[in-house]
Amino acid sequence: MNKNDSECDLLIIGAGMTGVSAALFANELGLKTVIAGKTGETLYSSGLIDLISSFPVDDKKIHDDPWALINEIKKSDSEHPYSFIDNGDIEKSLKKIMTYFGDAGLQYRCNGKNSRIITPLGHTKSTYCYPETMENNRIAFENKSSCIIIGLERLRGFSSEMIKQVLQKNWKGLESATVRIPYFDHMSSIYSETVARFLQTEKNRDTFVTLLEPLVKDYEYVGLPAVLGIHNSSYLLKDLEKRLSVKLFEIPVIPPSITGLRLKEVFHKILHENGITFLNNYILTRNKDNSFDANHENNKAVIKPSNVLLATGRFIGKGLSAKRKGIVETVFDLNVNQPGERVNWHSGNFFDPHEINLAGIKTNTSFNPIDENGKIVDKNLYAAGSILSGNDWKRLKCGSGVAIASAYSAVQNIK
Amino acid sequence: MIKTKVLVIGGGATGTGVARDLALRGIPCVLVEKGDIDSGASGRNHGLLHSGARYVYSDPVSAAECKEEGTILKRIAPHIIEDTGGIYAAVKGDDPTFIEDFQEMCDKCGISAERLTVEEALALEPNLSKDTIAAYKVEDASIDPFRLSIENMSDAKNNGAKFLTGYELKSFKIENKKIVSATVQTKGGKTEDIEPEIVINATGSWAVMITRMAGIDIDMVFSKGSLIVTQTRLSNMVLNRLRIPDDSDIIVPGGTVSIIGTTSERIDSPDEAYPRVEEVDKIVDEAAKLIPVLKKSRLIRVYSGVRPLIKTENAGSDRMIGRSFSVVDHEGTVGNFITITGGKLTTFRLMAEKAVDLACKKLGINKKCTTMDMPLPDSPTAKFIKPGYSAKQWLLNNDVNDPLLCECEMVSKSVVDSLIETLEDHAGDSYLVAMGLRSRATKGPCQGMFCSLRILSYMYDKGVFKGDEGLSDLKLLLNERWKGLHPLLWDQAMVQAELMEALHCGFLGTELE
Ligand SMILES: Cc1cc2nc3c(=O)[nH]c(=O)nc-3n(C[C@H](O)[C@H](O)[C@H](O)COP(=O)(O)OP(=O)(O)OC[C@H]3O[C@@H](n4cnc5c(N)ncnc54)[C@H](O)[C@@H]3O)c2cc1C
Repeated sequence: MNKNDSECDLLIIGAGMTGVSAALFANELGLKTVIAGKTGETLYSSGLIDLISSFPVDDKKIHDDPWALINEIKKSDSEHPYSFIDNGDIEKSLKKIMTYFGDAGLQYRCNGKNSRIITPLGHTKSTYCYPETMENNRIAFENKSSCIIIGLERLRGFSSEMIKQVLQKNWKGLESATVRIPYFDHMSSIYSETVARFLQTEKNRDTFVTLLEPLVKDYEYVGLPAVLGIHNSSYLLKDLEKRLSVKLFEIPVIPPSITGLRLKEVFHKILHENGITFLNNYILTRNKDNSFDANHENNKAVIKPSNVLLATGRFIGKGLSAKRKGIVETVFDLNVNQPGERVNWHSGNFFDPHEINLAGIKTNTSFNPIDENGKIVDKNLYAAGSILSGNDWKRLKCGSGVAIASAYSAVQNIK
Repeated sequence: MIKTKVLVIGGGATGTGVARDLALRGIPCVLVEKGDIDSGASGRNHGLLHSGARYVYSDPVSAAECKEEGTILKRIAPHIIEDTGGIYAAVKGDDPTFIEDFQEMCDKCGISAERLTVEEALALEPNLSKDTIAAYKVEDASIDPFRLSIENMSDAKNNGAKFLTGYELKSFKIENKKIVSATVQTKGGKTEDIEPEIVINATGSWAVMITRMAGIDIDMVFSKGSLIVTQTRLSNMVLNRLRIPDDSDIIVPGGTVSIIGTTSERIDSPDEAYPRVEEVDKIVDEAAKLIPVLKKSRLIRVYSGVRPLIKTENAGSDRMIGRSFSVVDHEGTVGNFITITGGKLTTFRLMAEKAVDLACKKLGINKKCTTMDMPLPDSPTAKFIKPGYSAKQWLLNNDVNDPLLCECEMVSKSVVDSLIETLEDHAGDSYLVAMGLRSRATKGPCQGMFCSLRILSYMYDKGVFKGDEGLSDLKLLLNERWKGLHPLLWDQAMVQAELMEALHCGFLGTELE
């Protein structure tokens, strides 16, 4: 379909994890699909695909069996989106998306339960699917193998020493070191993307190997910040493993990170390869006749969709906007389920749950938004992802899971 | 056990001022502070160096004191003062009698107030409301309270005073109506006994807790005031509402920001002073009448301080309770014990002088106060607090080996290195919080979300933290920042807060047990 072609079966607003997943699922059903908008929170992503690892919200513990938690949600009176979705569908939808990612060159691993991945704080994070480049991260931690974490000078916010200090209590064979890559000597700070681009050439990898060799030779596992390339991380990992004769892994880093960028690039690639029209970075406004104006710089398109899926995210994604007197939905001005006045939004302790995280769009079980009286707003309008009410993804660690599974479920209802 | 002449309790402006005064008179002293320097009202006020005009109506004594002390401070400590000048402006609906009487009230207290036409006022301050109906120019200025106390401390130390931060006074041992020793304790439970000849209680709102340890009650009430910091500076001069003193009357510019407030709410204990959503709304709505751009300004942070008010009869409201200070000589009950409380930041020097004069009398020492003439040295420790200082240094030095760790406020690795060195002064709760007090780090729009992690990991690399110590430190910082954030989360600030939670909870799981 060409970009000026204005009619489509489904318009997806928002091109984050939810929007892109929905586009792929809709495409599988043969729906003529247009996806428009920004990548939302994706760029901040650690690359870990969480299903859920904590419930209820004040539990503050992590659990390794996500399915047990989902079943608990279904038994409770929680309005979490998982309560509308069949477990088989949740699993299937995640598998499908991981396959798309893998086919596009970003391989993921999943063990059917949550796995522990070391974070830059030296904590571990419990997640459902993780990039293949973090497989040895999981294994080294699980077995407390002989391992050295290597930091890079000038890469701020990543201290191999910190990770060692925090983990060392229960992991005796863990060591740390930092290397200086002379190539970056003229820069006061570098980002993981800088290093990823550097590692693309064979010659630079030789340099890198020479620097690492003396440090790593006594260890079975070597952990690096996530810097191993953008489009070919699995290949780079294997290449370096071979040359260094060690088992290598990545540790996610704080934003701006390469893990988010990898996802963004993969999104673009898959949409393109599947022939899905993608209006990247276009801002949509709704017209009176239910058509949409899509604008980006000087480009303009008019879209006349039969169905619309709202996947605009929360405050970061700009699907929701917080005003002094209340929260509004930005495209359709839909009713936002919210905890009343601002006093009720947040608790005084950052680490306690905040009610505002439950705010969002309420839907029926088919993911059609409903108004304050429980009536469907429009049978051709759907909402999915973090904009849905009742899912405190930051505390339950269910961001990507809700994005993918609700996108799947919503799309199945489109005739 | 530590023996000393004078034990000073409290490390705010008053306590550090007392320590400096004693040290300059050559009298040995030890100062104990339960938190970090300026963890009480001195770190949580408006930073207004009062011309005195604020008090001409309700408290002429304070007004005159402010006038005199303001003049002294501008002379001895110009490097921590921005001599902005101030404007009093009334808007439509404000009481015309007050407007007309203002000049005479100021004259009576010896305070200069120059009547401006509305056009003149608007030319000086274009952000003033178009509804302005009358204005005066006064001699208000803005002062950096953190630098003030840190400079007091540095100079006191250079002259022999000893500081114990992170030590809380726990009890006195009293024999024959005299304090013979005092026991102080760290959060970690380490105790120390101090044997002083005189004790000066300079604990502001906590003064009554200290006197009770000596078996003495004073009648004190606590009034909380909250203040909002904006991302940009909204005026050149200090702006005041020209009316009978009320809430949300004052806008104090300082460096690149403005501070707006305040409120006045009775609270039961000085330890419970946190800002509320309702206060933020009240301040924004009310202060916007004087300066309408406030409604469109990004708010960075809100915080609360506590005013210790000594109760007197006939005070209609808390604002009408005298703001002048009290030096209480406990002679007769506990002979070697002095309490100094109340007053203002502006009058800290005078308060210290009076307290030390009394201590000298009790000790039979005949040494005159010199703080009205001795310039307050510009110490290296406090320089990073100055807005823009570390940014300017970083740009000038242009050193590729000195990456920025806090990007919003441009605080680089070398600054963090120097701060770590000075942190031996600090035995409080959190290194990261202490660092924020001594520099601009973690104070920009990201409110510590990213820079906390960069500074933390750098400090691990330097070996400052071991095991998981740094993680509890990080939690303390984030929560400290949060207390000042959550009441003002809307628009862009809400986006920023969601990102902070997404990173620190969603990804890093810092909230988990
Ligand atoms: C909202 C607000 C705005 C203000 N604005 C201005 C202004 O613009 N201009 C102005 O001039 N004044 C202003 N003031 C007044 C000014 O802030 C105070 O008068 C001044 O800071 C008091 O200093 P202090 O040292 O006496 O008390 P504090 O700064 O409160 O110091 C007391 C110290 O004692 C410590 N302490 C308590 N108990 C113990 C213990 N058991 N052991 C050891 N240490 C202990 C505390 O931790 C604290 O650090 C304002 C006050 C408030 C509340």
